Amino acid sequence: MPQIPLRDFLYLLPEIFLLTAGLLLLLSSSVGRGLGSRAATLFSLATLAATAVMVVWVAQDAPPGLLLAGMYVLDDYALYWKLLLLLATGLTVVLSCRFVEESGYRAGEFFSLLLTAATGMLLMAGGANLLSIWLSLELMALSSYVLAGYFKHETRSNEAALKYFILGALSSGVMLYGMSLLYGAAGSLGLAEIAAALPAAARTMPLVIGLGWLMLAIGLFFKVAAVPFHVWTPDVYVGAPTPVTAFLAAGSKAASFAILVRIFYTALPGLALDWQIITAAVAAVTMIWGNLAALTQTNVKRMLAYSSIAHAGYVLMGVLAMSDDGQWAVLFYLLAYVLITLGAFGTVILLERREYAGETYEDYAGLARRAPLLAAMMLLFMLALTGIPPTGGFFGKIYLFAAAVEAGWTWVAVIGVLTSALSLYYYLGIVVQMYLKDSDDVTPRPLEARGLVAAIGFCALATLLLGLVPGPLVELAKASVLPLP
Amino acid sequence: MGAILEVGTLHYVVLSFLLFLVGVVGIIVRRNMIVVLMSLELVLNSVNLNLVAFSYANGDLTGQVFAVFSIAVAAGEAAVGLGILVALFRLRQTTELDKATELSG
Repeated sequence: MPQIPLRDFLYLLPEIFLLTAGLLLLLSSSVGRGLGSRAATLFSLATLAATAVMVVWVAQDAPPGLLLAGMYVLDDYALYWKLLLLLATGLTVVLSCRFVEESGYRAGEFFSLLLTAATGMLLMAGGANLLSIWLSLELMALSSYVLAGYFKHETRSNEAALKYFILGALSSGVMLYGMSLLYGAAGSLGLAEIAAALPAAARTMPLVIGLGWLMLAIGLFFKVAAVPFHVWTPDVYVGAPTPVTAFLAAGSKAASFAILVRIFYTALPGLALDWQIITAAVAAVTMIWGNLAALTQTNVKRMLAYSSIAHAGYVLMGVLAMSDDGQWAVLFYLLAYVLITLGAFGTVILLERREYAGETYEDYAGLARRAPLLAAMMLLFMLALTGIPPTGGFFGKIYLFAAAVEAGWTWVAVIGVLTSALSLYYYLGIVVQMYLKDSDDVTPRPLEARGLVAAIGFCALATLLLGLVPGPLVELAKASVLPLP
Repeated sequence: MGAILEVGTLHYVVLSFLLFLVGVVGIIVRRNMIVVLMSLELVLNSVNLNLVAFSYANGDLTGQVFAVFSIAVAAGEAAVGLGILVALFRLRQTTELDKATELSG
């Protein structure tokens, strides 16, 4: 056993800080009536901002190579994801403030769970060993199960938590079994060691290796909600409180892609062709089924759930390219996707009141007259999800398609383009409601939740900026890719 | 005859795979949340068996360390699962999953 120098723990400072703050928040909510929603929001935001500063600061003088006995790594790839995930969590916190306040549930516990989930996500980004990756994944998942069922007196929220928990735990078990088989065959849990041992092990015990990586991949596909492991997604997204849905669709999915890419690129390059074929099939089915199922939805949250499934398919296209181009396309796209998704769900939250208004298409009727600015931002998000310029979604998709074609996966890219065209139909369904339909409710809706509107505005502005000047982010993403073997 | 009676890694792996299958089928087929939670434990324990057997075969302690972590996480997972179950029972006075479904799956 290698000795772990105490200094290594200093590099975990951001995560330790974030977790401590989350636990303090949890503790504070058991004292008296606990923090109010606004106080908890401000506390969480300050914590996340401080964590972001620490993440950058720690990355400045991080040693190359593995830390903590091979468990953890601080590379540019991890840094990019950590900042992205902190941004996603911060926006979720702002989106939640008013919603949690109106719900009447304790605010401190809600935000403390968001912070612990964020800790798990940060650790996922830096995990270099199957053990640390699995533990951080569980930290995120367990927090998310509770968040999904946070409105415990509402049957829909409870059902969402139940379904998410059972299927999530099952997928985690399958993934863990795959890890144990890989460990048996490769004799190690470190990603780099597995990669080194794989070629020899694949000859002596092909069945164990094959089953091992397949089960590991199934667990990962479940987490990113790829067909046919997506069955939990629509129900959980509809049933969970909307800010939690936004968090799952943006943060949880992005973090899962962070480990998916790292595992596939670092541990399994020796099996590249095998997993590329499976991933190509999964990506194709995901894009087709996600978009087809979204066509018939009448609930906006459900439509966005299927849209998030479809987008997992687009991102998988970049993953299977197994190239630098594919990698930075994934990094770029997920940032754009996180901003767009949080913005779209933010709009749903703003319209949402107790009776689940804001969830049917009809609730958007005449929105352009009632709240022109909000309608314009929602229009932008819908265009960006479709992939129409000038939005970040357009460049994101172009880069993904280009990477897939360049790597010789043209047929997958063709399916991607065709299904994107199809998706225009259901995204524009909302736009038609907003701009062409009239509603009886003509009173202009006051945009009283200023923080919420600011967060949606930020997402809209960033989406637009990414569509107008994608260059700087592309450079950043290019500098953050994992080295290919 | 002697070779098959000698318990080796393969025996453990086969046993663990059978346990795993029982657990997975239990999660999918059984409609009572408590039995589902029990099946989940079976899945996680099959993994532990695997890890310890491989750890012994490879002469490497990491597998056993992993098993200890996995036991701890399994306890956390059971706690969260039971918490959700308690909330379900308070809402609907049942632990049957079929009676807890209203969202069209």
